[in-house]
Amino acid sequence: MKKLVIIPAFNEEKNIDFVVADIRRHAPEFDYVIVNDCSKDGMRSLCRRQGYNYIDLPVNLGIGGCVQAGYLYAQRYGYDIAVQFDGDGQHNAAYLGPMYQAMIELNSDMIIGSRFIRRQGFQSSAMRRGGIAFLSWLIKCLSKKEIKDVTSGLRMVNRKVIADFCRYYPNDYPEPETLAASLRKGYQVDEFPVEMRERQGGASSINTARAVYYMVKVSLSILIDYFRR
Amino acid sequence: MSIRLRILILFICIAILVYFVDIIRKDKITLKYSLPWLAALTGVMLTAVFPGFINWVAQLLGIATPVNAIFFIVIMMMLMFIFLTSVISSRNAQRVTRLVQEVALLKKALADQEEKGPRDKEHICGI
Repeated sequence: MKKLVIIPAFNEEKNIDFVVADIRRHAPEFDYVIVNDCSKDGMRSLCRRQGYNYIDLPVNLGIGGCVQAGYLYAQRYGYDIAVQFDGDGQHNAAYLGPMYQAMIELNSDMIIGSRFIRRQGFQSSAMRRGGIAFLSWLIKCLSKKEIKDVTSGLRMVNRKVIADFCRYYPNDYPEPETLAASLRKGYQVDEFPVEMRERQGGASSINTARAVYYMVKVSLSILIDYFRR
Repeated sequence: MSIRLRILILFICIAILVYFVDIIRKDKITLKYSLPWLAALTGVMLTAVFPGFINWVAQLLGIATPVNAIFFIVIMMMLMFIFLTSVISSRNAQRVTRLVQEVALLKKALADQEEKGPRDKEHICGI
C-alpha cells in the first residue's frame, strides 16, 4: 500500500520543519508532499534548501484548491491512501499509523482524526465547539450518521475518495461539505480519536469576524450538497 | 423627450458604439460578450430616434410614465448581465484552479526528471 501525507501549506515557514520531522520520525512508512499555496514567506526556498518533497502552486488558490492539488498528486503517482495533514503543526504524526490500522480494520473509505471522542488535547474555544456541534447535527440530520469532529483537517481516504476529491473539491472551508458529500455517496466514514495541539505559530485562517460568514456558508453548502445527485 | 435630449443621447450612443467596435477590433472584449451591450445600445438609440416606441412599451407593460418603463427595462437588463458575469466568473475560477494545479504538477515532474539527469527518459507519471 502506497500511503501519502498531503500537507497544505500557506505561509508555514516557521512550522514546516517541525511537521516534516514529525512525519519522518513518527510515520516513516508514509510518503509526504507539501503543497505550497504560493506562500509569501520563505516557504519555497526553505523547501528547496531542505530537499523536501513539495509542489509549488504558481498562484494562490486557497485551501480547497491547494488540498485538491495534493489529491491530484496522490492520484497521478498511484497512491492507495492519502491523508490530509495541516502544515501548521496542529496534527500529530504518531496517529497516522494507528489511523491507517483502524481504516483497514473498519474497512472505511474515509477516517477522520477526531478531537471530540476522548476529549483530550486541545479542544478549541467553546464558541467553536458549539459551531462544530451544530454542523455535526446538521450532517446527522441529512445523512443519519453521527460524525463529531466535522471540521477536522486530519482525514485519511482511499482511492475511491481520492478520485472523487480530484473531480470536485469546494474552495473555502471544504471539510464539512466534502464529509457530507462522502456520506451522501454512501462511503464508509469513521472517526478515530486523536489529540491535537494548539497551532505552533502563525494565525488560524478563521478569525471571530468571519465566524458568522463561515457558519452560514458551510451550512448552506451542506444543505445544497444534499440536493446533489 | 425634447429634441435636445434625443440628440444628446444619440451622440453618446454613437460614441459608445465607436468605442465598442474599437475594443472588439483590438480583442479586448470578445464579440460574444459584447453582443448584449450592443443590443442594449441599439435599444437606447431606437428610443432616442423614435420616442413613440417607449410610450408604446410603457402602455404594453401597464406602466404609467414612459420613463419608469425605461428604468424597469434597464434595471432588468443590468441584473441579467451581472448574473451572467457571476456565472462566467465562477466557471473561469474553476478553470484557473485546475490549470494552476496542472502547472504545479508539471513543474514537479520536470524538476524530478532534471534531478534524475536528462538522459533518463522514464515516463512522467500520468501526464
